[in-house]
Amino acid sequence: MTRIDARRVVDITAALAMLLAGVLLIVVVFPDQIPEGLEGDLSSGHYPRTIMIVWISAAGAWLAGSLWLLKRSDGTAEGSLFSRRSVLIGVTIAVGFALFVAVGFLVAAFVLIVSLAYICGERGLAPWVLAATIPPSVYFFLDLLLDVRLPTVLSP
Amino acid sequence: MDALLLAAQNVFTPEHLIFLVGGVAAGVVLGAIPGLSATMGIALIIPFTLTLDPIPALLMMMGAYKGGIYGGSVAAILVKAPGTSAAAATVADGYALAKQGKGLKALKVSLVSSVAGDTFSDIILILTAAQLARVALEFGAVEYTAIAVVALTIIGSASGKSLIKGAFAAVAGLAIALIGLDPTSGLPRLSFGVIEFYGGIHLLPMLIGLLIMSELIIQMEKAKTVSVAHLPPAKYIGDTRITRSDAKLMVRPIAGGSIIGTIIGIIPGLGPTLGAFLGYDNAWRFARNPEKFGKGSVEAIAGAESGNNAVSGANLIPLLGLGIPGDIEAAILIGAFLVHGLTPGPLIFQEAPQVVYGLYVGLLFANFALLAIGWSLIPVFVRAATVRVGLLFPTVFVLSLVGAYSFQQSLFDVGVALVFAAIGYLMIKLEVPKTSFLIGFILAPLLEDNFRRALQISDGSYATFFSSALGNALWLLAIVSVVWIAIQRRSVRRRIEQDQSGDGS
Repeated sequence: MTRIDARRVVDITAALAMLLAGVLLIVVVFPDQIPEGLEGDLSSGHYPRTIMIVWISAAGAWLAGSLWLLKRSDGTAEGSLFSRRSVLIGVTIAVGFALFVAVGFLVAAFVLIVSLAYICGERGLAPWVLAATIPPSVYFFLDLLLDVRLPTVLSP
Repeated sequence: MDALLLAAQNVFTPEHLIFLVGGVAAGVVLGAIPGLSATMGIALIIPFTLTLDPIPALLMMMGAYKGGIYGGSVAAILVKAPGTSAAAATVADGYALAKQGKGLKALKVSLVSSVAGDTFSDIILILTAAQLARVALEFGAVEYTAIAVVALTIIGSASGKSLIKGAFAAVAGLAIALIGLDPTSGLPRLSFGVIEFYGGIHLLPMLIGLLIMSELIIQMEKAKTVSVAHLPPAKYIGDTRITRSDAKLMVRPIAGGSIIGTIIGIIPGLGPTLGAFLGYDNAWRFARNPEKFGKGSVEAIAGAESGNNAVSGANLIPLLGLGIPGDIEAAILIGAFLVHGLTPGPLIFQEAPQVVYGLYVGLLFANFALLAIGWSLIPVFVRAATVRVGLLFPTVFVLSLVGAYSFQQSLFDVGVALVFAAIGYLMIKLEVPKTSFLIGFILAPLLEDNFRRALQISDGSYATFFSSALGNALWLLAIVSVVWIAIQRRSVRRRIEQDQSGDGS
């Protein structure tokens, strides 16, 4: 059985998603979210609709191109879109952002530096030292020199 | 002349010089680290310049840009890992020289060639940008609409591997720019009731997410320790410096590379990587020792490095003259102008001449600063090229979060940056060019304002877009450029297929 080229399937899926998103935007979202403009203004709705028509055409061409390439595919499989490491990085960043919002910058930065360095293969003391020194330095640098106050658990 | 002298006075203050030189040094270090780039360097610096005046802020960023492009060649020469894609043409010959114990010579050849290319393109910028702006002031709504479309079609079709994906990315950038208030009626558009969307998507958090965070995620995915091969020490004193015979060999490739890079820089969408490869190709065509190419040729390094650095000054010609960013670095510089309350384009010569002339003087001085810093701090840059990226990338990621927050001290902006990090990551994986997307987003106001103004003047008749001779010439240029780029792509693809089938047989 011929193996399907994984990258091209991803390409087709992305093109299809963009095509559907374009149709959905112009049919469902635009009537509610795009103002028709003031009296005498002919262009308010014209411009966004023109953009979306070009979007749909480009996404259609992308889909057609991907399907045509799939047909011509020599059947070799390439790597998938996400690796185990990329998923780990994504989850770590999401946790880091949640901590940034809930507890503030210092804790979030500490967790992010230590965890991401571990994922990158760093072991030993260096990531801990970096995580303990860089975030407070950045915090005080911004606060004292640029008048930017990063949120911390101590912030009012 | 008076304006230039005034600008020189303004630039040559201790404070401004510190920012300029600091920018150059930071750029070289960031460019020298494999995985980081000039682009990321400037985007990372912008948030930390928010409290500065426009002139020192822009000087710092321009310094970082120039330094970053040269810095890419340090890693290319010493660890065979180009810090920037533009330095890829330098890898083979630079590393070959380093293996012969001539690493210092290679770095110096690269530095002198970079500075020469940069200076040449800066002079062309100074001579031409104001003239272009003067012509552009005569344009009406139709011509501006056509110019925006021409820029988008060239950038969309030239950047990235696929013409269709480039075009889609450009339109997606235009579509994202729809979010915010309708410029005519002031009514919210695609805001979904979220007040933060009323002001539209801000460029800075988008830049940070799209250019820095997404690249860092990709780099962290494949992070491994960069190891320096034990490069042999120099045998002779001539191995560490540019000799008279080297200097003679460098003249022709530098001249050719500088001219080619400048032309590439003026045309939107082509970028320094193409400048480097065409500079290299030109050096080979006119080489005195073509047999040395790929084995450690001074001529090759001179051609490639002058070619890629000459793009940087020329990139500012369409930026300052028309308000159109030629490539991703120029797009970031537009962001830098905007956050400091300046809009690049023909009017900037009337509204803020002191900033433009200050930038000119600063650009020329940055070249000398690059030469001095590059020459004296080579050992520091050598260390930067071998830094432990597993420690560096997480730290830079945290700094980019801080950068997104600092813009308006808003967690919403951090969220926006992270969303665009995810979008940028997917774009890299799907090979959709981020340059097209970003430039689409930046050109959206120019296109929308003029498109709508032209329609209002003509009572909604689309025929107005074909009513001016200059406008028609621009439409024709858009069509011709797309067809030409498509034909070029096809012939390159055919050549690659032929090469592969030749190798296979």
